[in-house]
Amino acid sequence: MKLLWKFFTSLRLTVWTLGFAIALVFLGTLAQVHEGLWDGQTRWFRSYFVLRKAGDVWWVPPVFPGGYFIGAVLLLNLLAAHLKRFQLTWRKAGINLTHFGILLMLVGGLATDMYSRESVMNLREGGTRFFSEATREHELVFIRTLDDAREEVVAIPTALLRTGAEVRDAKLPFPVKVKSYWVNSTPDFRAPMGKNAAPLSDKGIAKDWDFSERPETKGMDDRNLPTAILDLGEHGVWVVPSWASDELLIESVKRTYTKSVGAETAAGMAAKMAAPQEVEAGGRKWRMTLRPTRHYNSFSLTLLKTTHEIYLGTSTSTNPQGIPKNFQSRVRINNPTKGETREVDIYMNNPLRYEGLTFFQATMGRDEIVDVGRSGLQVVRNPSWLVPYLSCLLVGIGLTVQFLYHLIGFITKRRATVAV
Amino acid sequence: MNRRCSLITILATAAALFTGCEREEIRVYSVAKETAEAPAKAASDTPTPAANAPRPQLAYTLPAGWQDAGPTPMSLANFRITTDAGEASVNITPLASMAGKEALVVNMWREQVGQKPLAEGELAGALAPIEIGGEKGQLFEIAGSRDGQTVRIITAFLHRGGASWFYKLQGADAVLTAQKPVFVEFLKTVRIKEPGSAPAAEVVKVADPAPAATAEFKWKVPEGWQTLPAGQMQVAKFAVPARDGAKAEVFVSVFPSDTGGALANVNRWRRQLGLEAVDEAGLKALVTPLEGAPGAMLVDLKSDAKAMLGAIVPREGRWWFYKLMGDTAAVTAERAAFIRFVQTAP
Repeated sequence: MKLLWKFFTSLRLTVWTLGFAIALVFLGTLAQVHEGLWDGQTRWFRSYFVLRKAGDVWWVPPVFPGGYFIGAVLLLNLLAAHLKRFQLTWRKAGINLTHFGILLMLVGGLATDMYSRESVMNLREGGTRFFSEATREHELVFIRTLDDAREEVVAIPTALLRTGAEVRDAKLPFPVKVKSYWVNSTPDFRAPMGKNAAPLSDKGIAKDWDFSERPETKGMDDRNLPTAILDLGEHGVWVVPSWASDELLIESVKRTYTKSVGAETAAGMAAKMAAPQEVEAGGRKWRMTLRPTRHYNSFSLTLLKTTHEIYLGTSTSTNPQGIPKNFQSRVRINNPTKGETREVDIYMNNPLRYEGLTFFQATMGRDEIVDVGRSGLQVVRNPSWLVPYLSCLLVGIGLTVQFLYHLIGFITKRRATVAV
Repeated sequence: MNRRCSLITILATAAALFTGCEREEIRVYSVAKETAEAPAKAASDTPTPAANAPRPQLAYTLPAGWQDAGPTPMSLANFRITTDAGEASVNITPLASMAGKEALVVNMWREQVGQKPLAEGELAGALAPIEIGGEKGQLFEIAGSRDGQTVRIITAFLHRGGASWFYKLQGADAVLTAQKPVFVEFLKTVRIKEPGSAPAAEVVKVADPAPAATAEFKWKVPEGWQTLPAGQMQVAKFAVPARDGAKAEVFVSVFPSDTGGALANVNRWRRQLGLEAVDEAGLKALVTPLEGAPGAMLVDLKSDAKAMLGAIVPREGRWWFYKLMGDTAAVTAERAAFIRFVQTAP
């Protein structure tokens, strides 16, 4: 116990931890070149340990402390050192305040990592959304109608959809056995002109579309489109692709096939992909889909107008879009629980902060299906967003107090010396 | 501060740090039903013309051994061919017009079996003219591999109105070699009925496979008859001895039904000799019962220098069709041998 206490209160531990932190930032940044930004950050910074695996570049060590581990040890070290050496005196007030600020920053960083959430809300002009969608996570949902106005949703995160897993929920009248789960997939129409393999299932979308597994993408701008093959017991095997849940994806599939089979046939093929898949169980119909994880709000946003301004004269033949000057979305907030309806503008450096969420203007363009403006808002939930500001303030005040204490002491001492 | 208290604080913090991960759980919630975003409506919500438009209808004569597998969303007709040599499939698919894009059509198929695209100059050599339902179409063949399997595809297509019609025969190599002539004859019989036009003629279906041409028969072939390769829808074919230059041949077919009855078949035979069709009363005057074969009938037809002796024999749920046709002298000379042959169980 004594050794443990000595270990955690050691200033050498602080130096070593900071040293590892520097090395981690360096290696983790390099790793993002090979692993992609998202996966690189997850592996190196959002982990306790980084373990070397097959296919890694030569410099990845067999074992290296991850961001969580280094942050946790640093926090414990700082806490223990202070508990050991804490003195409530004016002489130490500045140092204590500064260190408390750093402690708060570490805790705030951890809280941000654990509790913050980023998603996007894509709207076309005139469109209304109650929810935003995750950019990388998906969920398998089973939906049944409750009444004319409402639906009940059973949402299963894809983390539970490992191949071979069986998922049960009291609300679902059937077990969900995962025959296969592909993190990324691609569709292929079961064209009569081609040699089709046996269909993945004889139900729903699988009668017309094949899906095959593709390697997981790593880049920040790339997107994985998962597909699940589910065995619903007596209700048969169903192929549930994320492709079918995204109207823009379906539109892009339609455009791709239009080149080879013509617009009318391609539209028919797209309609087959978009057709809802339902099973009837327990006297109720359950619609199933694999979609980006949704985060519902108690209020809705309606996109009223998009403004896309460029600097005059910057639109050229090589860059017809010009240099952007202003992306602006005018939205209407409708909060039935508060009886609140008002309009706000969201533009660069002027996000909307509402109900614990921050809406940033992220993307803008023309809708690919109908000729109206389209706006993408990044939606951030970060309960600890004030902590970094507070911790910086404390560190600043602490350093000022410490500096002034020593300055005043020095001046006072110097005057006394001169007077003598 | 008390050291023990401090240590407990440290360990509690450590426990919180190392166990504070968020768990993935199933969520159940109720939400308002989604409605289409105004003013836009997703393409997927819009019933497409292709999805809802009435489909054209087909009339055709189904060759023996082909099984109707029913339509699919893309294909109006699908057939399965199962033989001892393997399996093959046929489908008929209308697509948006590709008139003028023949190179694209051929190369699209070639790419599917791992073949290099043809250059413009090579295209003419790859396409052969063919009759499809009385209209001029084109036919091409490709062979290659896909997913490690050998693939051979024979495709005929026809540009008609605002669409291109594709007729594809695909399957095992040996089956395609045997079925290609059948496929070519089948294409001649296909009639397309566009929606809104007059009803299509009834589909003439000749279902259930006939005995394979290679099957061994118990019958005794009359002396002097020479066995020839059987044609489509035939189980046997013979050449009878020539008489002073007069020649005739014997054809044998078998079907699981009477394929329209005696009148239809006799009139078909009459047309082959250039004779006019007869009615039921005329039929009675033409046919005679065949001795030794209950329910069987014999038909004698003559037209100038040509003659035909036909027989329809029901046996064990199947209908056997025999035909001796050729120059009158040869037919007359082989009449007795032909009747004995027909009376013999095959």
